[in-house]
Amino acid sequence: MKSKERVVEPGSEEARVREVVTQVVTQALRTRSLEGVVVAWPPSPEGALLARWLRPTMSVRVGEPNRVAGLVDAAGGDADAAWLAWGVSTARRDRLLVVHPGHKSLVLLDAPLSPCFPLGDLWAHQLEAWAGATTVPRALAGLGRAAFREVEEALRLGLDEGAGTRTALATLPVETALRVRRSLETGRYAVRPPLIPKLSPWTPGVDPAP
Amino acid sequence: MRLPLVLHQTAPRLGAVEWNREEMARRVAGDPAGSLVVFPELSLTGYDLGAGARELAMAEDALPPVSAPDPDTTIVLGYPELAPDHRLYNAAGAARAGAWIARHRKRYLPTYGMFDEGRIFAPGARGPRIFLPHPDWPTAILICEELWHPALAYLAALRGARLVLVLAAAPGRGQPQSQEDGPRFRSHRPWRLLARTVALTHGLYLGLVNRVGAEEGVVFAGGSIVVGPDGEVLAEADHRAEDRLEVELEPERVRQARHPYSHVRDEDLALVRRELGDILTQESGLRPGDEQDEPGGA
Repeated sequence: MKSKERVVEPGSEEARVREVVTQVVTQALRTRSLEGVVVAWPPSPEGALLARWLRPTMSVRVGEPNRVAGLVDAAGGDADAAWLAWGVSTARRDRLLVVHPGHKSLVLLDAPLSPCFPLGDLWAHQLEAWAGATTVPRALAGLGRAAFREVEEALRLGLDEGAGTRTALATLPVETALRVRRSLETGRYAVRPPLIPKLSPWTPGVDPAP
Repeated sequence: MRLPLVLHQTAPRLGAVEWNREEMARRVAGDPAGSLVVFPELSLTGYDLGAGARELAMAEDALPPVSAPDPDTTIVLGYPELAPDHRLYNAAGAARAGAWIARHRKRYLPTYGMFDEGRIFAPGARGPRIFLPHPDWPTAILICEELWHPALAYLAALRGARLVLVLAAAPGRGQPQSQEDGPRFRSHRPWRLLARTVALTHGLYLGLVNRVGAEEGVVFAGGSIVVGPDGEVLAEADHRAEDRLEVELEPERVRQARHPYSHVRDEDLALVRRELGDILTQESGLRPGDEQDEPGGA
């Protein structure tokens, strides 16, 4: 029996966001002459949501944990690296764009590697209703979901509402605030590809115009 | 005489100049003879040009206008201009019968937040000038951010514009906040408000054509609009898809908006010049000993 998939109501906020995400990924495929995406992350509610959103428009490849498990040893035991390696090799073989389904908090705090984060400007709490659940960033492991919600609200106030992270994080317990600050500092520059040491007069990603 | 104004809300492809040109020509071919046809900012090349701007920029004499089957049709489009002094400009040009008849170089280049234009383009040196798509319709061009600098629309009005065209590549930002927004980005609301305010204040038509489509993470918000000289919205485009607006501009409507009101007639240029001179010569805008007006004073 086929599982019953949730219907996206036309005119709803989910429909609006899905459309924006789909447009951006579609354009990225067109300008790069690629034919679809590969989700280079373990199965997750966010990954399933992304696949559901994109599939009507493009080819979406998701990995099978069994196949990726064989790569973990070669990646020095780093499961994320194994998924990325699988994603990149699949992408190169089948002309796909590597995407990561991380939400905004995860991108900010865990700084995963990927050339594209289609859900990276959506907070976990925004995705929850559509994805059913969301992933707590590794940087907050052990804190629990309620604490994650508080952290995310502080980040939202600090960044989206312009209160500044220093002010916003002051609302959190000191230990949590320190942990978040450290992760933010670490991740702040991690999602800016490409990183190329400047040696010539014009460097890709560094200089604006020849 | 009435003037058919057509706004084409398109999704130009980044870097695909020939594709964009052909697409524009195809659309113009279906427009009424004698129309004024307008495309969005940088419609010839796409917006997020980055390091490719210089490669795609064109000198005006090397840039053949988009052709229209009818010689009385005027086409306005956006392109990166390579000037004789090797500067790049974010420009808009108007062409008729295969020749350029007007050009505007964007003066205010957003270089903050997500915008990078000031790193790519030089700012235009002049305010908007008038051109005539038809002898009855003195028209001025603004480009996107320039609508947020009210002095430019004011200058266009003082030069006699009855129509202001705004070519835009305005990204959508922010979640909708109310019923009024519908499914549109929150950023749509101030654009609509500005367009209506400018038209109403100066008693002129305003046609704002914004693009749609996506470029590297940014989605453009569409919502092109034609506003009458009384501030009424005459036509409004979809917020997400390509669209086309056509409105017949009526000289009588401009007359009605300016009479019996006398805002345009009573504008005191000498006062403005005096005050601006004062502000420019005094950092604070006040000379020592000058008295501020009493609160509530006339």
